Amino acid sequence: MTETVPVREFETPLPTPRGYMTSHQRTPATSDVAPAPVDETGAGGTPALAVHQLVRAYRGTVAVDHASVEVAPGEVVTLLGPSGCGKSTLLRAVAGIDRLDGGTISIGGRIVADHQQGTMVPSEKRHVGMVFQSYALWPHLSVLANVEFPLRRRGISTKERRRRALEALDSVHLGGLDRRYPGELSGGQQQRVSLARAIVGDPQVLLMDEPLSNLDAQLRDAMRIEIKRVQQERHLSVLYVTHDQQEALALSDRIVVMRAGRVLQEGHPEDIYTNPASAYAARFLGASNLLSATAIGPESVRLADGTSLPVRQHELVPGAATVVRFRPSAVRFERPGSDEQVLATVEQCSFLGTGYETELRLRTGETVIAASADPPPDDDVALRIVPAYAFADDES
Amino acid sequence: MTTLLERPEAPVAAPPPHERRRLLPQPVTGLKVAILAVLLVIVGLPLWQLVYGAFHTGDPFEPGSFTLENFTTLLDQTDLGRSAWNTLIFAGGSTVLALGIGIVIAWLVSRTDLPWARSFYAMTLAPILIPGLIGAVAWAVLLSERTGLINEYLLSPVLGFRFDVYSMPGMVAVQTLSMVPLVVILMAAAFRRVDPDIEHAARVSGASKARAFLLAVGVVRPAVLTSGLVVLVVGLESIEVPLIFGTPAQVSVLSGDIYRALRIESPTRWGPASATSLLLILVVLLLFVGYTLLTRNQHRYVTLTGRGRAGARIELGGMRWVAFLAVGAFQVLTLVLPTLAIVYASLIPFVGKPDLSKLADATWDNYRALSQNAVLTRAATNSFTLALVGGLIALALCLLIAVLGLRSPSRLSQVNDSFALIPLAIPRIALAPAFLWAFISLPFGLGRHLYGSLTIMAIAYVVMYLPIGTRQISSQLVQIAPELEHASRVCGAGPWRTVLRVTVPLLAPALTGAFFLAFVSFYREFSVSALLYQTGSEVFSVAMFGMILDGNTTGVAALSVVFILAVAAVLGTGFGLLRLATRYSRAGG
Repeated sequence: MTETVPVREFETPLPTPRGYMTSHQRTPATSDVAPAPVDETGAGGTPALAVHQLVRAYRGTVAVDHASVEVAPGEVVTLLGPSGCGKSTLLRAVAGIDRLDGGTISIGGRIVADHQQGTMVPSEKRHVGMVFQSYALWPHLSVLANVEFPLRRRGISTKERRRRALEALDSVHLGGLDRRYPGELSGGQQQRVSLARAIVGDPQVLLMDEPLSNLDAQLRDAMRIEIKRVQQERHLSVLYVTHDQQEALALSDRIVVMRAGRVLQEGHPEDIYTNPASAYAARFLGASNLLSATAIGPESVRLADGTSLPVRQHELVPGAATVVRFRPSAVRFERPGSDEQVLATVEQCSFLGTGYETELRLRTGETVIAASADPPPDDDVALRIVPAYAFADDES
Repeated sequence: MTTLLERPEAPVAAPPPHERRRLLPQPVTGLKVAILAVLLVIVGLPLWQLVYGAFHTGDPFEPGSFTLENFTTLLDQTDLGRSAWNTLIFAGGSTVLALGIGIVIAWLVSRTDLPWARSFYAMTLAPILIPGLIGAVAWAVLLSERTGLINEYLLSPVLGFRFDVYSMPGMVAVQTLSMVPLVVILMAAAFRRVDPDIEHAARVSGASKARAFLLAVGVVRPAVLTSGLVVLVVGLESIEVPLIFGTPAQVSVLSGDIYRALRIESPTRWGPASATSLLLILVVLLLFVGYTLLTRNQHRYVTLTGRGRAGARIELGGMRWVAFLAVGAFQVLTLVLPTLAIVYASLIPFVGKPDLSKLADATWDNYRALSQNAVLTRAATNSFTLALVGGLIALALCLLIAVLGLRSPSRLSQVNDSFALIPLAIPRIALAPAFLWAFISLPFGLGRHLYGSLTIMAIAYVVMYLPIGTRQISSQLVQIAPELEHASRVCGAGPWRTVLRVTVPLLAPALTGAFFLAFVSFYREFSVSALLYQTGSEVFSVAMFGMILDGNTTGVAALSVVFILAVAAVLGTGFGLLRLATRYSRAGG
């Protein structure tokens, strides 16, 4: 992640000091005012993309609910959430493939969609590039013709068009395959063609809709690195949609966690990972273990068996029922004896190559999964859990 | 994208070895040989006899000798050239027009947010259920030069001219409208198989809506060629429009020539009819060669199908209502007006100078006369029997060929597969003379016994349907993972039990569809029946054609109305039962 440092100056100042924003803090009513998106980039530049209070509803269900997202020039912003959370809908609205029922979208400072004004710039005039989940390559056109397509009707000479298309193909390492047809390429190669087609016209924003989900795991890692490289070489502004936290963490300068059409939290990958703002975000970022507890102080809860556990709390009233969430990797095995240990017995342990996965049963009857480098030392173990997150309710 | 000649293959990156699909362990050679024998008799023999007859003097009942005379007579006649030219204009013109209209409609109803898209799709397909003769009669009522309703009430007063449907332009127009549903059904299926993001990708890349449409057409180019070939063959083989509109206008086409030589002229000109049929087959073969060359690279056209998603349809924007009006106007022209015309004609005593006030004297006489028409009652019974029995036989044969071809692959089942495809290259109007030759010349008086019988018609129907049926079933069969059948074998069921208990139930939707298609195409059949029938074996469309020849237009109109109502009732009941069944099965599950 260190290579992303140079773009930090473009980062949007975040609305709350903790660096996240929860759904209940926003008042949807403000959308009626619909102020023109103000320049919020600290560096004083125009954002490459500004989505403001976007609403999209299908037959009564709200797919996107007053969501706002900005992408600074050269920044990679990821919309992260499970399927059906509205992230793809938002992306398609930006591309102009889908309508909006509220809010505004501006690209490079130009308003391309404004529900109140009735502005709706068609897709072909938005100067965006898009990588579709299914690649959507035109099977009857050669690879070269696919990549040249966005340059047509732009008054570019045939020669120049060809040169730029070949250059784009080179930059995704597909040089020499320009005469092939999409059906003759592997999935990974098709993905590269799709990327070349999306970047060849120097789009103001590059939109990527789960581009890696159709690839197998190994190829996915390679393509992720590839995308990052091309993005940095060309200083592309990217809005990236995924449900894969690994992808989001590795690629993004900023992550926007979405749920049920709303923006739940937004921030740097490290920040989001270490400080999930809700039980939902915590679960989505890998905190799959769940215990119920009671809040007893600002930094600790009591489990059902009476053990007290230090936690990162989120606005809890002492005495209130809470849920505790933590990642399997947050569990460490210790010798019993000290306080703040959770006692458990080992139910089952499997070797995974990189480490061990252990299923443990607490005295409360609850089950916990631990991921550790070494196997548990004994059948009865004491657990230390750092960090554990406590929330008022578990929405996930 | 499937093409006509290609045998369906599983849509996987690395096709599994053929062995993996083998279900039936024994080679079942006996059964395959039996099927081959049947195919040789019903496909091979007629073709051979047609060639034989084309180079043969005299008629099939008599011994003759080898001759080239049939071809030289054809060439000597100046009207062969004229017929060929007319055929080109008629079949070619209507194919081009039907493709143009059909592709646009198919794209609009399957890919865009056109209002009423589903209803329009259903309306466009509706004419497929109705014999082509009914449409032709409707257009005669609407567009005859002096008595046509459109001429009288629209063209003449508004534009000051009258269009005569009894002419080449009229024939092309009527034929086009009868072909559009076929194009729409094939093209809409092709468009639906394509990733919905194909056009969106074009829009994002800077293409206008019109260019996105053209790009989508490019993507389904193999389907465009397939549809074109299918309707072109229909144009070559159909005789409804040429007989009804061409004969009075003295516009002859090759299919009409064959009909005339065998049915109208006396003595029957067997030789020249066979020679013309052979010529038509050669033309179709050439078309297939061209088609194969053009679709040679169709492996390129593999499209990843994206998941369907809400809002994935192309938004037409301002063009939405323009498109709605255009498609709506097309429906009015092809469905509403012809239906009204037929209802009108069925209620008046006789078709003369058009006068809507005649409706004041509306009479049920035409309908009453129908019930007293003995030929008609017999024909309706014959048609129903043929469609039902013939449909079931065709289904069984196609199922056997498909299952053996895919689940017990061997050289023999490949031969059977190929035999089943041959009728694709035989225009129906050429199939009839081939059948006449083949079965009349059977030994032991069997020929005379079969001549003009319902049996020979049923066999001809089955042959016509073989290529479509086998392909329809096997394209579904490749979708069924062989593992499902292997699982049954591992669970202890024998191969035939597995076919009956696993394969056939899984194929049920395809089999239902195949039977429905067979049933519909059998009861609306005309080209073959018109040449094969004798008194006693008339079928529905033949009886109807007889009434047209008698000048009984009002009677035909009444018959058409009854027929349309019957089809609507059957369909309505069917859909009602289907809906009820799904509701119960859902409640049960």
